[in-house]
Amino acid sequence: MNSCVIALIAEDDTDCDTVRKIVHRVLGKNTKTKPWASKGCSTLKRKLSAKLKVLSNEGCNAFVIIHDLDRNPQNESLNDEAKLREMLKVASSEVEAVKRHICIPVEELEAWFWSDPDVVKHVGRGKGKAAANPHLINDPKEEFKKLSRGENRKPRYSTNMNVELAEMLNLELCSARCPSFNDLLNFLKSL
Amino acid sequence: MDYSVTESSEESQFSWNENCQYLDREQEVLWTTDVGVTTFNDGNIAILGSTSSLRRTKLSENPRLKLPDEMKWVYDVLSGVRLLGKTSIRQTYIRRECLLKVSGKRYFLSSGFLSRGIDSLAFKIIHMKPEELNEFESICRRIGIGSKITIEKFVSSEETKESSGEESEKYIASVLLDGVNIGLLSDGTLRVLTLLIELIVSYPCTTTIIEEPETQIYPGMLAKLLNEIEAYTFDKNLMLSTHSPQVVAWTSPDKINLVYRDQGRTMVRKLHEEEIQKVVEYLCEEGDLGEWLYSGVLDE
Repeated sequence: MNSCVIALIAEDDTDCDTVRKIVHRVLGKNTKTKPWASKGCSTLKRKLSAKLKVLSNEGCNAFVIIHDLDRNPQNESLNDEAKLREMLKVASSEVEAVKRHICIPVEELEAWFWSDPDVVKHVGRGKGKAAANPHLINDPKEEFKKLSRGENRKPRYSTNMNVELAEMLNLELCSARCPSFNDLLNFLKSL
Repeated sequence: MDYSVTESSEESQFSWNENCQYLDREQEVLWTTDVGVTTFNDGNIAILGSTSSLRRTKLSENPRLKLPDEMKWVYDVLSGVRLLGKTSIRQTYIRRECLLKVSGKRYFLSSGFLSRGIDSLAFKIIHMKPEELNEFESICRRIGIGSKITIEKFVSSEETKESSGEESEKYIASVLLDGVNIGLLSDGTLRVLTLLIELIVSYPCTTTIIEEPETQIYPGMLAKLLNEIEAYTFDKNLMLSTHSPQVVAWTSPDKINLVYRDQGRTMVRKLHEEEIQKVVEYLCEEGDLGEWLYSGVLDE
């Protein structure tokens, strides 16, 4: 059994739950996790340092920090990933001697699911094509909603489905197509 | 639509007042309802019961009614609006099992007028199509409210002999969520089930209005419910009224309409451009939209 206690830090509960499912698939269901959903990106940045200390005191010895690479609302361009990573690195540096990984999915974590044809067909009920470069999809969450529309035009996809999709996800394929997921997987395998 | 049958149904049908009038020019009154009796302005026609029948039937084409063309337009608009209110499903503190006596497409209240909301919910679940029920169950599972919905039907031997078709089918039915009778569930669970069922099975509409989705629901469940509301109203108009910072934080600044009192009048306004600029900065550095809105920054 893996002795790690992994803190999962993300902007919302569904992201924490999704990454928890990935952790359990890679390291086994008995791996302990402690989630913290900040309920927003600014709160995550502001409280990260203090929260890491609390989670460290609660026995966490590995940290996964997930933060979407958002778009600038004024010009719709993606924000600077290096700058965001550096900021999160500085904010998380006060807790020493722990393993940590900063995971920055391009735009949204849902982009990962677009890498796998089976997941895409599951959401689209037989419709839809996976993307070789999921990070190029503009608003992957909204695209899933459009894809999941049934005959009565109501979308069937909500982010509450993400845990189910993470259970199905082809980890190798996603790893090959999504650099942020590949880095996360390598970190988890190193624990 | 209410299909329930009760001794007090007749009384409740006549226990409201309303009027319909123009707000401009002469402020002409079209009709007035007084204790459930509607009288049109020319005084020639009176209608007993709900004026909603006007839009469901061909009454508006009756030459004696002489409804203006605007009313057709108003009815067209309203027929695309779905209002999901915050009224408690269980209007009593007593929890009782819900055993519904169903007769064809109607049912009799199982335990009184105050539990009619639960009866109505159970009836809707009983009459869901199999694919809708599957979908309902899978949503319940993914938001963590329950995993199995069971419908139990009990038919007495006498009624079995008498029944000759679906129309006359009579039975006692109960709905269970993970083995618990729906009448014994918490108020929050009932509210979530009611909102979900309306989102799944109701007729296609262009606008959904939900009054205070946060009422009776704990924050963790509310976040999941909002995800489902977002999905099921995708590409449609959605209006939420709320006092909850969590619900406010779920939207974006440009979609907020502030409702406030000013000199004895209720006013509605959107955020000004400079307010949106400030809140965007706040969202980047400080906190969420809910914290900003309820921080007192707009009190002036």
